[in-house]
Amino acid sequence: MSGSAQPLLEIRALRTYFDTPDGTVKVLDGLDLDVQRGHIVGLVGESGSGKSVTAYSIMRLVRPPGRIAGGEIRFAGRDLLALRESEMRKVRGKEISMIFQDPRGFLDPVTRVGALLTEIYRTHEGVSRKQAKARALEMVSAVGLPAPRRVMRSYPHELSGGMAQRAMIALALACAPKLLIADEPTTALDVTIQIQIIRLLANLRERFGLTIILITHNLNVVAEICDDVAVMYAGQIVELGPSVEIFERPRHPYTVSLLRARPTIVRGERLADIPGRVPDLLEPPSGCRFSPRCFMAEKICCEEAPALRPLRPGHRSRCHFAERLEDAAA
Amino acid sequence: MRGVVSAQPLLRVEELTKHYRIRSGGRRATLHALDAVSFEICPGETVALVGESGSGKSTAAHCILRLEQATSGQVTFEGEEVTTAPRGLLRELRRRLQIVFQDPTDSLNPRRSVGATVGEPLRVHGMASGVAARERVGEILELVGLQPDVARSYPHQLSGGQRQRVGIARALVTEPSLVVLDEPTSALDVSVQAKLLNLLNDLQGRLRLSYLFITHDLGVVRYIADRVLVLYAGQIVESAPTERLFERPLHPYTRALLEAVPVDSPGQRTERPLPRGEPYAAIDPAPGCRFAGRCAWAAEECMASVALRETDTGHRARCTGWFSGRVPEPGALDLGTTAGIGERG
Repeated sequence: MSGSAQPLLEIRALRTYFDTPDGTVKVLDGLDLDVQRGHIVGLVGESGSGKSVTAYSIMRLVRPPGRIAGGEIRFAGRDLLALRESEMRKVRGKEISMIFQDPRGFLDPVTRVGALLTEIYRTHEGVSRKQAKARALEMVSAVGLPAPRRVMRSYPHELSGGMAQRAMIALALACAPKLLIADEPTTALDVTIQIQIIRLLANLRERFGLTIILITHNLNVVAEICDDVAVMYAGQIVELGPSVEIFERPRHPYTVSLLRARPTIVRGERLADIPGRVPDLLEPPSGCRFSPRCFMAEKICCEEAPALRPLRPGHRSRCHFAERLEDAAA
Repeated sequence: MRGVVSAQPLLRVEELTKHYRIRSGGRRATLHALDAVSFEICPGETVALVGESGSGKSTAAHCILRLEQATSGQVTFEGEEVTTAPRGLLRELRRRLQIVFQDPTDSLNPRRSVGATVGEPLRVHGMASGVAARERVGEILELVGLQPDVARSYPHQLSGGQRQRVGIARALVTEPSLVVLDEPTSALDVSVQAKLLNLLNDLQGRLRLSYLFITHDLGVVRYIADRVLVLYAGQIVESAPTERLFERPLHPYTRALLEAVPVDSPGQRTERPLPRGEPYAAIDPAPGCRFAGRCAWAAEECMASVALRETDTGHRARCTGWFSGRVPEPGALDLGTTAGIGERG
């Protein structure tokens, strides 16, 4: 991606496998991703593409039968996969935080929001109860919760979905992490609340100098706030680049297909769907994994796996024939 | 609009109301899930019912099919009154009035084969049995783009898109004239959604179906609907032919909804006002406008009760400020972004 500065996060050849009775499912099979400091990177793809497993791998929270089988995750210069678990615990929450689609599943239902947040400041910063409470109130206001004092006294179930997500963001940011991973943070929310939350994330990026990985299946959410986009398909990144490039000059047939599958304004006109379905990762197709569904696949595509190769500065594609999309995509 | 739309409505919903007695803050209260909702659907027409959580859109679907008993109001389908129909007639009406639910995983019995699920309505309605029923199931599975041998599968063996096709097959097997689609694509990926929307379009053309399409997704609305009803806190706040609504949204809530849709492409990003507040459930609502608390143009006059009024042919809005001239033409709002909903670059 653009900029010559050292990326905050560099993932190289990451492999995360799940051992099942039927064999090993290679959910992530050689994932490469750079995330620049201060950027919002959209990680898009359909169900089963490996988006969430990427997030859990970065946090090293993959549970058996899943395992990280190899690769490198360099965060601020350190390889997270080489850290001891005790060291990794200090990274989680403090340096890398995560929010989820269903915040209520994550907030302790019997603890008031204010108490949760105050406790975090007390533990991590060792400040007095009074100072911690003041910090908590500040954060509750920063995430745009109305009537902060009342929210502090609320239990999670007393909050609406949008408010609970804001509370979750407040908790995630309490220890001033460098990186926030947001896994489908607006998927369960109403349209008018979704836009409030994505704008909030954009504002918090500015205010706290955050770097954000936004995992979503919604291309429009990506178009709205992301600086860069990584498109995932069947456990690999197939295209990567600045948002404007990806949306206006897509260079991978899967990206092109995804963009075209969105409903057009023309009533009744046929939508361009993608033939077939997502491959079984127990036995992924040989060659390019998208080849069985691709509108421009040729013989070589079924035989030779393409590499994720640079096309323009910051723009990479995993397609043998990326250049053929030069004009077709416009 | 495809197909011929005749003037005689297929479905007429009049003053449909559903209230729930609830406890709120320890006191008895009434939730107005649906308040005096009226609309019609003509043969071959697709009407979208758009709203957020608590708007009453699913309650409307349930009351129309009488899966829930309405508090008051009338539903007339093919000239018969659904709301008061005795059991026998109700069953007959439901043969022609079907529903597809949002989550196919929840609405399909996991212990029944696809064939049994799709064939069940044939048995219930005494339409076919034995070999004839199996043949009919095979036909209908093919019609929705599934292999006939899927009949022997169980729901867990299918993908989300396939399960939703089974839901559609089940709804179509009795040859309905109207299908209520309750968020049928919300749980699906974009490429699967595209296939399903194409299928719904094909089926409508071939079977001359009418749809009541319930959704919160305005991109889908613009693609599929002839007419749109916007529901807020149990009331219709605006209704119009689809293009008219997108070009000239009058109600401030409709405008907020349209502005809230994320852009299609980063090149279309613009500064636009953020919607204020959160969707509202009408618990013991005051007589005035239910959107007033979130509205940028709210004023004293909005406290008085307000009716849905026609502003020009086929376009109605429930907004005091619009009719008194306080709420400006939507031209004042930058529609550069919203006009691009669903547009390809």
